[in-house]
Amino acid sequence: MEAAQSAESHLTRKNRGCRHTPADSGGGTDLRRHLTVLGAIIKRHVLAIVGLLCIPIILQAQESMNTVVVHADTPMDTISRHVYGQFAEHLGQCI
Amino acid sequence: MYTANSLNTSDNAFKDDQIVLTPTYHVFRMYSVHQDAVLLPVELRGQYYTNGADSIPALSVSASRDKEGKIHVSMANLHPTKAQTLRCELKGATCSGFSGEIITATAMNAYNDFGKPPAVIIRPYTDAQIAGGTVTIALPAKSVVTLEVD
Repeated sequence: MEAAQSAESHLTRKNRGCRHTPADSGGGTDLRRHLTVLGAIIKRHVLAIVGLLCIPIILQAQESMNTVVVHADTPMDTISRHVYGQFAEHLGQCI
Repeated sequence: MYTANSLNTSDNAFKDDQIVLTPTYHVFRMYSVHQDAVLLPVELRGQYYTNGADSIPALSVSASRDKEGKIHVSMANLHPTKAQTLRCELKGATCSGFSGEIITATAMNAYNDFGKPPAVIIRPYTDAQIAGGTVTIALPAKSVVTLEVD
């Protein structure tokens, strides 16, 4: 991240035409700088790709959540007290 | 509803003049809050419990409002190994607090027996969060939770 930031400020300097630094004198140093900038750009893109890859994971995490809406605004019938007072048992061939 | 072969142990619930309280007994006790209450429709979307070729919804939810105006929401997580998180939205009601009960056990085949401390018993439930009128409920595997919404 720090590398990306420093490369960005370097790019800004370049765009302003501030190239009067001692390091500009050597062609090899210039190449190195270009590689550093390229590296920073790739790094940024890698971060973006990783970010994009995370989106399905986040969506999947949301899907694993169970949701229920209780409609207290539309009450229905009264539940007979017998509904929760008995149960059926399957005995193989009969109930 | 819960069938006897999944929860009930009626064969050994009685012994001489003693009785042992089965998980079925406790679950019916928890669901008795819905008796004579007004049914509130629920829309549930969620995970499935799959075993081989069979698949059933992992959760079951029931809701009602009793004569005193209290809303009860009962939730069952049928999944034997996977905990579930349930986000519950109340339409037409506000939720500022709750009290709850839970029944579960460490093992799927846990049961209560004579002369032993009860292994499957109702306990107070506090593992729910309220934020912006929505209640987020953590449901352990093989558990039943009932909330009374304040």
